[in-house]
Amino acid sequence: MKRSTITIDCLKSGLLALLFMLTGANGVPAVAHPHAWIDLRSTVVLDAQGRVVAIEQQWLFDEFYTVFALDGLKTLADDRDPRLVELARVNLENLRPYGYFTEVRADGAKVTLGTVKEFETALRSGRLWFRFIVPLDRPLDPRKDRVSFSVFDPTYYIEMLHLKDDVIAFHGAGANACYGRITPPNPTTETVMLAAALDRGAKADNTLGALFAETVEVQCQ
Amino acid sequence: MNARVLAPVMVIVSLTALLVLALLLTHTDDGSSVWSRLLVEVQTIQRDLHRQLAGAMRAVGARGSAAAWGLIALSFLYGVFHAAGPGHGKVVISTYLLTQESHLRRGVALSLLASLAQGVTAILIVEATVGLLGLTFRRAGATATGFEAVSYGLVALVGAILVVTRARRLHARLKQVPVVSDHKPLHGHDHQHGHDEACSHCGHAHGPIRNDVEAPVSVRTLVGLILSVGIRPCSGAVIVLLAAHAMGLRWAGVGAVLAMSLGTGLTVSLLASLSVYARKASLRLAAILLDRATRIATAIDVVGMAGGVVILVAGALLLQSAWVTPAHPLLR
Repeated sequence: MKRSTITIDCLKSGLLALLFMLTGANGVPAVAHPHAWIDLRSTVVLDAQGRVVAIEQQWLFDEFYTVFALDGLKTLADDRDPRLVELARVNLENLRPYGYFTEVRADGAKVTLGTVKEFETALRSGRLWFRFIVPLDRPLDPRKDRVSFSVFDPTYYIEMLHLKDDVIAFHGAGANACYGRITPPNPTTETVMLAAALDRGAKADNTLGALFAETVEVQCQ
Repeated sequence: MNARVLAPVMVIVSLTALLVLALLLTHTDDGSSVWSRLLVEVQTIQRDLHRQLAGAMRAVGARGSAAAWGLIALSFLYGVFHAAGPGHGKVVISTYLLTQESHLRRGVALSLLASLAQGVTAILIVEATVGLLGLTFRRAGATATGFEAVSYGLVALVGAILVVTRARRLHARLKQVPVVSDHKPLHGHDHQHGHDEACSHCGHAHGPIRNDVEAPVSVRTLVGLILSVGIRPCSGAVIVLLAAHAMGLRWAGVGAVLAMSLGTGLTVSLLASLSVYARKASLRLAAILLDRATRIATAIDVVGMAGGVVILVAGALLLQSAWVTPAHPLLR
């Protein structure tokens, strides 16, 4: 009798503990917090057959990151300072294992990306600017496959978005017949809950950054 | 207050809470819930504030202290929205309050002090590395990251201490249970006469519950919690301080970061208040469900222990991820 009383007590306590935990999970608002911002512009590069062969990107960093990355602007002689080019080279090298924060999909499956060979950099009114071309391993035909891409920092340390009212540019054969539809981030409650507790990047597909990423769908006629 | 009166009140409050939650999670026509839209909205506001922050800093550089208040106000707002994000600090503090603490004022003080400590740590790190030692900005950033790991380790330690404290009390109480059971049988609440005599040392009064809740919460635990969370500098604050340094506006940077910390403190305090209220409501519910003080005290300790475990695991996981996650490719 005494023993069973204790068991019931323990069960009830356990239930209450669960109740506390559940309210706890809801008590934590799960908005992520980036610390740096990039204004993104992208151009879809098409080959002679109108197939997607590369995504050209322009990254315009915020002023604070710029000052941080350049160790204070005062040491820079001018916009053509060789150290700017060196910084871009090192950054792109570091970004290589991360696929340049670029994810291209054909019918939902991830496509392998090549190495960036072409890049350009400058300072634009106090903000660091990169332009580079991310080549695809194999060309994708947007008329046959559903081609889409996203550019995001998986750790969500940096938020990367196209500016409002920005349009996706197309370059190459049949560029005029193409259109890029930008879908704004739509983090679902369930996935954000999963990623909420950790503010450092996870390895899974459901990274914080992926949840807050835009998707661009390539549509060609 | 009487439990019979409180029961319907609790039911109404719970139903309202459920309704609000359901409303937030309901998916609208375009497939996004109200809540997820709110998330995106907060991000947008934060981005805009951050963009204005750079301008405000330049204004201080150009016009001097006349523009300082603009910078301070903007920094405060940025802090408010910035803190609406996931951070281990918020998880730790709300878990702690939910499972250990019932004093609103203490919860708010804890949140404010932890946020301020994060700002002060950032200021000290930047002043020491860049100001004193003349290191590069990247080295300063790397130092700040090093402090993160220390913070995670301390969080795990606080969690472990909470687990041990609660486990000890639980053990001591479980040993006493048979004695109390003899005094009052399982269905004791049906016996009206049993009420008065039992309530001299237990019962539904909140006094004894309070004492039980607060007993293990020492000033040392609170200080430990503030330090463990606060020793991790906010990386956004570090970047703002470095920018201020580069612009020759050291003091503007310090002021901006302190205002930011107050802003984050405000958001975390709100969250803390929610946690404390949730705990109070649960305690009332417990007082209705479990009619004996010993049982309530046992439940409180089990919950306290579970909270300690959550904090311990969170600290350990963060430490582990800090260990294996390479530095951010654009901060190396």
